[in-house]
Amino acid sequence: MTSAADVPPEDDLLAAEYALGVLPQAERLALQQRLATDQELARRVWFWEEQMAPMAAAIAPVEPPAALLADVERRLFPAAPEAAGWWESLRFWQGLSAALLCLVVIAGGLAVLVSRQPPVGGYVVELSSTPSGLQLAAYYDARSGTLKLNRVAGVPAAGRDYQLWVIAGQNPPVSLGVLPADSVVALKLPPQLAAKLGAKAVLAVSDEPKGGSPTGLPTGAVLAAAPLTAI
Amino acid sequence: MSDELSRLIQRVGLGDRPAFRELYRLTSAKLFGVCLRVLREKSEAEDALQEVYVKIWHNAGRFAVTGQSPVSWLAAVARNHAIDRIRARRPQAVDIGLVPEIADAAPDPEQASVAAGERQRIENCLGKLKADRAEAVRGAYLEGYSYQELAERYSMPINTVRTWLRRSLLQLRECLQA
Repeated sequence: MTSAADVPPEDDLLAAEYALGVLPQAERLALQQRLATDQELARRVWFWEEQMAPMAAAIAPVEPPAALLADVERRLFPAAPEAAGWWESLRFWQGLSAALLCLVVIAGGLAVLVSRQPPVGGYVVELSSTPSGLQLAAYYDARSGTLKLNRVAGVPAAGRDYQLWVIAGQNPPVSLGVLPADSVVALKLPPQLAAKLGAKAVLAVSDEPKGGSPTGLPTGAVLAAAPLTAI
Repeated sequence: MSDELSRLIQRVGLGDRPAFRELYRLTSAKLFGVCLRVLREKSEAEDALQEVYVKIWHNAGRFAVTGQSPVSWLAAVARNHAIDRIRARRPQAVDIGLVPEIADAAPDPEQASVAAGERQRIENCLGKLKADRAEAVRGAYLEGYSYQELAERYSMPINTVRTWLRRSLLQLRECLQA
């Protein structure tokens, strides 16, 4: 942060008046033009904005209309495929999937997978989706970084693929790749992906165009999602 | 909270859309409050908030060079845009007496604790000004009053108001940098 001594005294006052917002319109516009090229003046504006900002604590937050974010996103990403709602649907499926986990007697593939593995450093998850009929059991061996998948039921529609994602904490989903056609597969994860799997990580499956999401993030419906459970 | 916001803004600067959405979720109510306070009209504040987040998306890459806290940076983007709008829309002052008051609410505890130290500083320094001058600075910041509106409010010639507000700003600077 520069000090006031780095700019002419008149400029520092203008910076303060600009940050406060009191300048008459013509002077305000003239100062904005100068800010584009005058770095020292800009630094003084930033200083004043920073100093004054705590006054905004007196302003009550007001929820904006729910549709406003979608309007902003339409303006910013006009050509993007419709990714809206993935997180909402994810939350929905997390809830549903957790409920299913309590009800479903885990049989078949998962039991087999688990019984073959040492019980330390392992995680399991079952992903089920009623509309698509997808049922997927996964076992992750943290020590070897191997993710074993057993698709018990469900195939993607023609021209579509199922894509597997891992979500660690508040981070955006990271693709683990398109689900192979084989019902049972073992994927050796590269270390940077393996690092994302572990307690509290969520696995999710979304419905994507053939070959996987073109954007690197889920673009289609999130079919199922559930957190990994340590075993 | 502050660290989280910084990280989110930096990720938005890299074009991370989920981070943008999360930043919006965490900050839109506050920034809508800021826009509403200055613009005083819901539909206009909604338009302004859209513009504010478009600017946030485009300018997030420059957040780090300002050396500002994320809350200050976000508040400045919102306020500057709201002030630009109101100056463009309203070169003539509105009748301040008819403006509906929007009730203050206590800041949420998390934000309050983050901002407490900083807030105390500006409040201490405002407290050293004469009451009407501190009130003018606050009114300009919170309500977006121009010199012209302050002149009407205090029944003073505009040049006189500007002279004493500038003097107040100099006093504030001395206090803030002490």
